[in-house]
Amino acid sequence: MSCLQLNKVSKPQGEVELNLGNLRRLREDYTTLRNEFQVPWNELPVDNEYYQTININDDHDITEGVSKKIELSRLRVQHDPLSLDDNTEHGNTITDLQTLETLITDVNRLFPEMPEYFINSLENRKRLIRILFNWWKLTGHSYSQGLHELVGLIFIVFQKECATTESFETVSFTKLENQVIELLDENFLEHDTFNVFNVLIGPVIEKYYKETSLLQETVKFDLRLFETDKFQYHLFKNKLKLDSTIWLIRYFRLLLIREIGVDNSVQLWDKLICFGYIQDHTKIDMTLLLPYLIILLLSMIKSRLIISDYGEALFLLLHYPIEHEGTSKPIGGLSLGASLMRFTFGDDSTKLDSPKNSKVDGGSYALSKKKSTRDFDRTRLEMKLAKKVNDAMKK
Amino acid sequence: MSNNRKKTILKVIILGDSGVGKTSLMQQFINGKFSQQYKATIGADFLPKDLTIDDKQVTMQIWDTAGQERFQSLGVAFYRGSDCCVLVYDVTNTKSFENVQSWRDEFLIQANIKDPDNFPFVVIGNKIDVEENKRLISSKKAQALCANLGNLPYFETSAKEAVNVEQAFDVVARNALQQEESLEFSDDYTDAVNIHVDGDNYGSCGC
Repeated sequence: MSCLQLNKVSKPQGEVELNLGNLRRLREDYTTLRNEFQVPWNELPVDNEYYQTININDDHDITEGVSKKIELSRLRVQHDPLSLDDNTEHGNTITDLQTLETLITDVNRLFPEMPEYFINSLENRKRLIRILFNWWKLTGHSYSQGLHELVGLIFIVFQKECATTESFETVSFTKLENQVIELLDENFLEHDTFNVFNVLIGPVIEKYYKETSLLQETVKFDLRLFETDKFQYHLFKNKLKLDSTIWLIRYFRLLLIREIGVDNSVQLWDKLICFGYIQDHTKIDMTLLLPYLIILLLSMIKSRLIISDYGEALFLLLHYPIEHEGTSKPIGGLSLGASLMRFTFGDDSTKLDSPKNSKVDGGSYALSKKKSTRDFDRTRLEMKLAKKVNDAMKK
Repeated sequence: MSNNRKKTILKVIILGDSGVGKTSLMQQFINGKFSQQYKATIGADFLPKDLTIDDKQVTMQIWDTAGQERFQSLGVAFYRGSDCCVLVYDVTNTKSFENVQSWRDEFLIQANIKDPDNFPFVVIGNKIDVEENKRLISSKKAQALCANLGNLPYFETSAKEAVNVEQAFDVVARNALQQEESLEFSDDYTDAVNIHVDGDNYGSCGC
């Protein structure tokens, strides 16, 4: 992780400079990687919008290098018997073309709510595909749906901050200003997105993109839910008989992007990265707080979950109400972003199953820790009956 | 046996390769709308729809699954309790057609279906709105596959132009209901008989 640090160097004269050495090296590394592993655009059908021929230098003279030393280059082993990676589909090795086609299918429908970034920009889609293709080549992890949204979010953040160096060519700047321009150079948008993605994604892949680990994380989540809010746990497990894996898979794999939206996610990621860095600066783990954030999200729709049957509850979980109510409209009087932040970084008076917070969704449900699940069941029954009466009155 | 007042719930699962239009079909059927840009499904999505089939009120729970995902241990969670399985392919994508059978086999294994030969599947060839020269799978070829897989009902649809979607899901709903009722019957038939062995009654007749 230290490779991404941009240490400020304070000069004796009081000047401040950025240490861009690491960044430059990472950018060079990505350039090398990109040259080594060419995306097989040329293998696509000619009428495909992504099709392009491979750049071959036709002027190259084959006799030219005979007397010269041959420069060695790396080649990826296609069938490594010692490899532990999971690059197989039904026992067959996934080809470059298959991966490219999968990436195209997903990137073509990335963030339709913000079409300017990908859907209307073939160039950006190509950049994102190159990033994911090279990441697959470098790490050997198979590409899984969901990774395209994570890398897409990083790309959007960097693109928003990009600087076009050409527009500054005629202006003279201080050294620091020039360094900032170099840092934000649009020509390295793809490089920087790749490097940040590569650094941040490790723990996410390990925990949520491998089936066995995902199941383990789900079990851990259930235990945390039990410890934090035994009534919610009782509701899910004993009353609704909900298998957490069904809805948690998306919450986990996309780090809540679908549930809280892109804008909220950007703010949240800042905090998650900071928290991960504080815990262990050698390996940033953005997932440390995720289970608790999900428990908070559940508490915000608790009163609705209580009166739901299995189908209604699952629908609510898979269509978290933020999308319908808009990111600017608060849920139960609290803005979602503010609630998550307050819960995570500061106000430790927030107790998920306290009467105060159980009313967060505008419901009237309140139970203290002292009460039993039997009391909970009775309250739930009363609330369900009240809902039925309300529905009947409306008709 | 279920109470008559209790609403029948039919679980329908949609399987098929990524990008064949599973989400579009579900949205077209449930909400009557189509969008060019549905996001990739992660894990699964779920939409309910209330229907009346021959005067019987049912709620159809349609489960849309991620096309890229080949679940191993997770499959059980998604497939368990299904009453019908819809296998979707894209008529312009040969690979998606070739994978129909593997999706079916995988479902039968993961869902732990007791009577695989009689479990209801419906095959849908989607995207028939495309130009004829882009179509790679003919109706004849698809029908041959369905015949081979046990005379599975086959529909060609366009989620984009709402062609045949209602008709396909009507058959899906009817087959799911039939399956649900047959399971209900077999559950009744196999209900354990309560044998009272309490000391007070044991050995005495009820006369």
